[in-house]
Amino acid sequence: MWIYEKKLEYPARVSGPNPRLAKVVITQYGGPDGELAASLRYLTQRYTMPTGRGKAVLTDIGTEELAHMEIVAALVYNLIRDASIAEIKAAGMDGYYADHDKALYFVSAAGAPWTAAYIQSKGDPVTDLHENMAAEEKARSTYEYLIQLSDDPLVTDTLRFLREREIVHYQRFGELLQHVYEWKDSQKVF
Amino acid sequence: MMPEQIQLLTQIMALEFTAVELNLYLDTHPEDQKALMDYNAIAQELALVKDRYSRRFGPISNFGSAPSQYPWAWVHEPWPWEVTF
Amino acid sequence: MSDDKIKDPQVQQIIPQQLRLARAYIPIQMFTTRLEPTEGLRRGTIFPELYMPYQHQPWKKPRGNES
Ligand SMILES: [Fe+2]
Repeated sequence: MWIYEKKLEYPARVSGPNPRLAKVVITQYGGPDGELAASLRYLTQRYTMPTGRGKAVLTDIGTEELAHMEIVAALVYNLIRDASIAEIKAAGMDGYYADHDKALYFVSAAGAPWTAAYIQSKGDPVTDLHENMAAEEKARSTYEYLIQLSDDPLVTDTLRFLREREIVHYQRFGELLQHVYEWKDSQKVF
Repeated sequence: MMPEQIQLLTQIMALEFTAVELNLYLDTHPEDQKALMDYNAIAQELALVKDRYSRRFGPISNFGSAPSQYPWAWVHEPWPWEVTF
Repeated sequence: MSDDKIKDPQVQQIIPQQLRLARAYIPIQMFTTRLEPTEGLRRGTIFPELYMPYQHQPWKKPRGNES
């Protein structure tokens, strides 16, 4: 089971209303390479990881991704919370507003709703770990594009933290891949 | 949020992040004794700070992780996404 | 890979083993030191060797071949 902690993993500060920035940052909430996809991908792949280490890595990184989803949500929430209708219109966020007001919803930067088609769970641990390493790199790239788009230094600071986490996760999945290769080799009957 | 609450919360964030990092490292290096000792020391320190925090400002975790004063303090605001310090 | 890279202990660890074709290899990290909790949180990792900050400097023009 999961236990909630009433705190963020890293602070999510914003300088002021900025629906234009919210509109792109939300892609790490419900977009193709976002934190929801990351978390659900790892948490659903863990059942078919062959070793205790594999189950641990997938469970723990999947759990940390939920904490990242919460950080991204906090950014988006605070960027649109005090935005006026005029600002929302000017930012091109009126389409989102029509469907969701200022509520959080899982969409990409272009407004596409989240879909399970973003993730895969293949049953082969080598294949799944390749997917996960690619996913970490895709998330890292997205954070770099968001940093380029950000005009709020406080938001940029949080985006930098989240980007660095993708690098650490990539390393752990890579180490796990070496372990799974060894496990596979040890299973071979000669 | 009072300055003391922010200070304790910041301390919890830093200690728990160190625990997360060592945890993930140990997942792929379960036989690294140095990292394990470090993890255990951080876990102990984190438990102390969390205990101090929840006695003073209400539980940081639910479902039986810490007792609550009267009235039930879990419902206290602000929630994490409302904290902007 | 240059000789310098191979001497890196983080990389060296996988070199003596027999590398197989059509496999991906990541060097295994070896824990030596870590940052203090506050500094680790600020950087997004407690491991100095994994700290690889993004260096986007849009105000700098892309440079051609120098030297
Ligand atoms: Fe990640």
